[in-house]
Amino acid sequence: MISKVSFLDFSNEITLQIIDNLDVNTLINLSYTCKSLHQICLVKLYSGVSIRYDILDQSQQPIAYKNRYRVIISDKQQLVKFVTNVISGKNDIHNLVKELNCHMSPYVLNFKDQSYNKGNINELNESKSRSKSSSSDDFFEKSQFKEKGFLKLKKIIRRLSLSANNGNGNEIGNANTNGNVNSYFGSNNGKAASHRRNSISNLNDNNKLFKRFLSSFTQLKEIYWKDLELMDLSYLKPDVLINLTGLSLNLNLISKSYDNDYSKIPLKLLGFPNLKNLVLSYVGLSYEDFSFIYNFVPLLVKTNNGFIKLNKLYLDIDGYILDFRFGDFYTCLIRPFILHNKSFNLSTLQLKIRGVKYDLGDNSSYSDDGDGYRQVDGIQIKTYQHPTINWSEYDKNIRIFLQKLDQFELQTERFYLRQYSGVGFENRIVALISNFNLPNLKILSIKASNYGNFNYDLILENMPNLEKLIFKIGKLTVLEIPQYDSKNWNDKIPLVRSNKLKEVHIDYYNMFSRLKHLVEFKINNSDYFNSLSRLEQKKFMA
Amino acid sequence: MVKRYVLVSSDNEKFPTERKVMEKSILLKNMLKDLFADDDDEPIEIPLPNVSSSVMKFILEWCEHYKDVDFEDDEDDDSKKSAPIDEWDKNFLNTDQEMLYEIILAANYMNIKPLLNAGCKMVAEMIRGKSPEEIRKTFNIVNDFTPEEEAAIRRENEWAEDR
Repeated sequence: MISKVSFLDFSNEITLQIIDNLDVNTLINLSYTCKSLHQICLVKLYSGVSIRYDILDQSQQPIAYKNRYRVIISDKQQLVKFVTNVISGKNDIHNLVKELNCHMSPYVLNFKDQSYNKGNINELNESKSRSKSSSSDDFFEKSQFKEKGFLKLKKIIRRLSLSANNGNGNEIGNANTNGNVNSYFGSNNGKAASHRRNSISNLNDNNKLFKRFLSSFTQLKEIYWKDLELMDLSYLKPDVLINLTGLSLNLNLISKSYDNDYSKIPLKLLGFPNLKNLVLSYVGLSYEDFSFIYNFVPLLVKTNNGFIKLNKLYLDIDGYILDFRFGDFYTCLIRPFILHNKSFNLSTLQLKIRGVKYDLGDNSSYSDDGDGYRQVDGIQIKTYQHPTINWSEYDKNIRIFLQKLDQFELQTERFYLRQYSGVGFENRIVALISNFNLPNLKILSIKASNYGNFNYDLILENMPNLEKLIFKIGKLTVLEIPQYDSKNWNDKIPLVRSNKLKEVHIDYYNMFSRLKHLVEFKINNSDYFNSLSRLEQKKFMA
Repeated sequence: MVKRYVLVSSDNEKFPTERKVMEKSILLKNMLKDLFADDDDEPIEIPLPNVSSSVMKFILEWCEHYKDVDFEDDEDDDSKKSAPIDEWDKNFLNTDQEMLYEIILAANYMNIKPLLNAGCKMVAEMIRGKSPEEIRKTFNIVNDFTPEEEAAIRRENEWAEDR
């Protein structure tokens, strides 16, 4: 005699194994049949998706990482509810976090509000570990965000990744993020790479799911997704693209997605008329990949009419590129903006150039046949034709490009200059920034691997409103002693004569002299400092 | 002298069985290894109180068919999980729904993973492509959602649906 066994009598494990064999549509249909199957189907439906939301306050400062928080979702049910609420436009994250008993943690520990310092955060973390339910309450009680009417959610997805769908949902609430500020530009670390490896398998089914997931967002404002496998903006609805104000594009991923052929990219996907913040990053190793950028960036900029609303531009290149010249940099990454946007309102410009090799040094043979090919150590490399820089045009246009800047940052690492070249890449950029009148510039930060030919007097003269100056000059490869020796305080005194300058950091490491000669000082009150005599100032800094 | 093994079903029917066949079940394989000494000449009877005689016949027929096949431990092998159901298994499991469920439960209990996988795939085949109402009808599932609840979950799943 056969007992009456029903489908519903199976254990969850067996049911999960059955639905493991279903496509997404059938899975959804099954979830509508009854409550118990609905719960089980949800586990499967969400098990391939890891989500981390970063939430902005109303000041909308994603780039500066101020007042930015991360909601940590610890189980699938929370995830389901959270996603559902966010998709449906529920903006009150404060209540949502309380309702779902999620964690909300500060993204950055530096707060403008001095009363909410690191100590408070530690205390908060302790209270979190003591009690999950009270953590978000404590957090909001202690912070001032409650009074500010915290969180008009504009839905940043910083990293929404696909994971291997192993059915056990371990990825949920355990999104692989390194969770620090540096990850913004430096997320191509081991962790991320490991995550990518994990993410590759079983993409087909999840990819479909992921596409639908992304396409459900209608109010996205900013997207940063450096670690995403597939960079396909067609996942987003057209009106979302139009309304985007912040976008991070990993050009290396784009080049891979389109087989290094920029002409394959659908032009309609390149329209971001309201973009205010743009991050263009390239992390790669091959010259061929980078050549894609030569073509793609100008196309991107042209298609967007020079990004007329662009306020902040971040260019981040990390790779080993043979023979990358300032002319290349200017032509393919800067000039397109200048060509297509005559009324530039750029307030922040950040250039990070890491691991770029200018050429192979003294022992290399180098020739340029002027016909689109270069020889480097006997290897013929196809290059891309770009117009020779017209320096008079350059001078004129770069002023427009830079005139409204209030923040400029240059950072180079592992960057080798051609030693016999008269003017190196960094020197050109430093000259670019220090030789023009930049009345709005408040923050200047130069973190360079080589000595830049800084002229402090010029900086003061051309940047009368400078409030913060940071120099970090690292590995020196030049053959000349910097003209301003850090031992000579008199050379630095002009810096602090400015009434506006409130903060100076100088971190200078003179390798040439074989002496560790590190100077670091910080002046918080220039008025006080200026009132001192030279001798007193010397004592103060000593 | 060849040792005799006898499986006893929940309704006390006895099934003399070869060791090689029995060992398709990890439960039985471990039991034989752990509980019965090789030098014991007595016939071994193993009661399986969760498996009825009618189901036992199916299980043993399946084990007999695959007795010479060495199933690797493919629990984590996604490619095998997603592979279509084997044709012989499909014909073998083409029985009535209740028997299929019983076989799945027995395979789960006796830890016969390939059979369990095949059974689950058969059930999935029965679900695939059906509307919620058709699924309810096929599997005799009672809709316990209120209209409001159903509307709410449809909104929840909206993101994942083809639109």
